[in-house]
Amino acid sequence: MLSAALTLLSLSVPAWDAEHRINVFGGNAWIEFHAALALFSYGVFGLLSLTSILFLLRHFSLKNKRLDGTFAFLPSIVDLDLIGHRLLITGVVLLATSLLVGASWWMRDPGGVNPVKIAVTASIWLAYAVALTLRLRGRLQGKRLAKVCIVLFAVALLSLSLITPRRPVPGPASVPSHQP
Amino acid sequence: VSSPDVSPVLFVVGASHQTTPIELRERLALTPEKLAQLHDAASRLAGLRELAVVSTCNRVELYGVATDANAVAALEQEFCRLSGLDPATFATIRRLADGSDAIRHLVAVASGLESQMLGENEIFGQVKSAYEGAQQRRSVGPVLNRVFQKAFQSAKHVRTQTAITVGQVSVANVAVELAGTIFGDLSATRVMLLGAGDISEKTARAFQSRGAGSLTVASRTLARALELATEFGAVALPFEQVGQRLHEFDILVCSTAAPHAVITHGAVATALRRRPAHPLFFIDLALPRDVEPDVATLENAFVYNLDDLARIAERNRAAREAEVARALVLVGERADSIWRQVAPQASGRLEPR
Repeated sequence: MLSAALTLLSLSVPAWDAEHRINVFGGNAWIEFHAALALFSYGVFGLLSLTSILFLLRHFSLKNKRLDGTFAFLPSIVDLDLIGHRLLITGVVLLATSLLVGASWWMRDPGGVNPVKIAVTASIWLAYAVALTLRLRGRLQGKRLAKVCIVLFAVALLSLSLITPRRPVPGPASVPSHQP
Repeated sequence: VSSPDVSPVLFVVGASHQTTPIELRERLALTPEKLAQLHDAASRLAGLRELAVVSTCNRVELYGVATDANAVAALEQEFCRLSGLDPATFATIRRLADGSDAIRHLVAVASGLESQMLGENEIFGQVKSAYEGAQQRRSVGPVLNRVFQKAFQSAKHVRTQTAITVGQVSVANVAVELAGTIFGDLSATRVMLLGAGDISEKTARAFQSRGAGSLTVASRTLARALELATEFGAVALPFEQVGQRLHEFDILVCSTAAPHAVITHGAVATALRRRPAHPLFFIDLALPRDVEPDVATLENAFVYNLDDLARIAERNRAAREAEVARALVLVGERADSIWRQVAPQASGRLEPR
């Protein structure tokens, strides 16, 4: 309710809008969609890493028989595992969609995208996809999966500095007429 | 009552686990027939205006409004006659209070502060049933109606505003609470009782009351397993099949009298490989232990023995006791408030007898 009220308030005052919006994506809606999906997937992976930390804490509390104090507020270990599993699926699907949208643009203009960015992002997606596959096959579970998710998110965050376009993304004038 | 022309007196007379050994409490407990007889006898007592009887396995208390102390003494006589107890013996164990002290006692009882298991929930329902029974018999009037109804509100207030009900304090309930921290909702869990003793039965009852998905009983004596399974609407399993079917269960309550461990590290490791995403929770209530200690080293196996559960129960009990002082202050405030409302109708006091 509060966020809705604040949003309405901010939208109702035009003077608060930036006068010259910086158009980092050159006005290309598909690139914006690609970036938004990628950011959203990183948000999901962020939540996954938090869930994984809670999972490790709950596991520690159960194994060490420390269930009072702060530990009493943690969800059950099975619930945390289920939440983590769903977040992993959601993140992998979102990032895959984002990569597919980005790839369709990249195929039209291979020189316009930093190859390091493609390699790093694809590697991160692949690593999460492998973790998901192993989870579904029962090969990567519990504490090990939680640790992998935390490490992967740390790597994903560090790699963000590499994810910059080689040159400015062309504006609408130079966008091919048959957009994806 | 101090003098014949003063207001009627609100009183409580009875005995509880605090003063009465179990052998005497067994005799004091009122069966439905005896309770009816007591009400019948009370209705003929001159000077007794209102009566409500709280009778549980831990206490028998008669709450009433009388015009004089003789009526209270006569009620006590009737009670002793029905219980087959010598009045002199009863005088050594009874608790007698009047006015605001009687209200304070009722609020404390309904809050669980006077219970053997501090803060337990059951007593609230028992007091409520006692009041409803008295209402049906039309033995309560304007004073007790107000006192009981306000006491229920006060007890709810005390229970919600303090932590006297937080954390389970019995081993069986601690085990169920622990299962919740592992599985969350227990409706999909499969519970196996390994051994069919008393403690298994209590734990099974606790799991059933929390809505556990299914119960299976395995015992060396199949007849006993079948008996317990029938009682709980569960399935009986031959003891020899336990090892092979371990992976089918989420929670194992072990309480066999076996002289050695019956759940081995190897058997659990095999079971966990067959259900990699699902933890196994062992509640080992047996002495000597039924589960090999190194089972706890397996990542997805959680093993709690009798000592672990008792330690948690003790910690919860200590936490509850720390809240007692705060709860008693609330009880006092609420009782004083109720007393101010009923005092105009029953402000008399009992003389020391």
